[in-house]
Amino acid sequence: MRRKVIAFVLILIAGVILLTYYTPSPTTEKMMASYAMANAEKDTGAQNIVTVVYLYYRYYDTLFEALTLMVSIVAVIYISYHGGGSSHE
Amino acid sequence: MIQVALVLVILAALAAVQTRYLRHGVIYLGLFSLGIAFVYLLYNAPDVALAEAIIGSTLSTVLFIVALQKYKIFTIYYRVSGEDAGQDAASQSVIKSLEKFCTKQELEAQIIYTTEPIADIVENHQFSIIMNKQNMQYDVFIHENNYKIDALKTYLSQELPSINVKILED
Amino acid sequence: MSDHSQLLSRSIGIIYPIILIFGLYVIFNGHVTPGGGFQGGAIIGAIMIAKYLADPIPFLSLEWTQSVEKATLLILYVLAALFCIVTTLQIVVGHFTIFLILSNTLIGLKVACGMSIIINRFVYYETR
Repeated sequence: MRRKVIAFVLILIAGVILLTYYTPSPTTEKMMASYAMANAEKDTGAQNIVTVVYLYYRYYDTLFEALTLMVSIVAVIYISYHGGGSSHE
Repeated sequence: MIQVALVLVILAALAAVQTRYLRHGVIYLGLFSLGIAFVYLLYNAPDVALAEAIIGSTLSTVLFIVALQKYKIFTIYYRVSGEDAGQDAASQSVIKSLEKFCTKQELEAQIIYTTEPIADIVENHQFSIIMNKQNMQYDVFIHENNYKIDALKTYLSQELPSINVKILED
Repeated sequence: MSDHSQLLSRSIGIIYPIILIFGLYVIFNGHVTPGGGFQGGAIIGAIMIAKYLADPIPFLSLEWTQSVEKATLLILYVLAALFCIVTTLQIVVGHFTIFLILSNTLIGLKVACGMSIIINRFVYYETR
């Protein structure tokens, strides 16, 4: 019972927070897309807008994507150990 | 153009789910990836299409095929009759030879001793091959849909020419 | 694949320098043409598969590949911090192309190492 109450309260708090900060406006996304298309080449001098987005406007996301890939590889090595083969780890 | 590609994608997805053999499912999945990469290309997303074609169509297909090859279990039913428990030297050497065949083909040999008649085994159990011993004569029964039928025939004709290979039909 | 065919190994031996050149092209032209670090790295990782199909002997040591991958991630982070400092203080203005090529190369190296680790680990060591 207590755990259910705690879970309910947590879900309520999460819902309130998400609803306060959620602004359903497709215009912002459209603005960002058109901003990238208009200014990408002027800002960096590269023709491929996708590269400019993931290496300039959204570089932070790219860094954490690389970190995620590395964590998953560590998990693969750790889980597949039991076959033997190498002494390292 | 795009309608043809989308229909092809749907057909490949359905075939991958509905097929009887896992290997065919993997190939259909590769076809699905290729089709969806083409669709991405038609929607002006060449980056995504490139990534999908490499990852979905090359890497995952080969990894799935390797996984299927590694985890395949080759079930051998050894049919013994009555007091003969299949422990004498001749039977053991035949079994050892079959295990060698399995190792060569990267299969996992699993040997089951049984006294049931062959028709019951065919009816009720998942088997790869059935070995039957009758008056010092060994027969190997293999289903006609088995992938290893040619490899087994070649191997047995080289190693143990006295064994007859008999093919079970559906 | 215990009995690999001579035909397959010969033809893959001819093909795989071409795959390597294509992967490097995709990485280094990531800022001009479609593609980039991730796609090029995955192409280079696919060479491992070709190598496995040609002759299944492990030739990259796991230890070495993993160290390269970790070092690449570290260099990527250092490069990001350096780039932030340089652009906010306006020490160097412009020259984004060098930064883009460098980041793409690092990401490509990292993804190639990661893919080859996964493939090597899965194909050679995973037994049961």
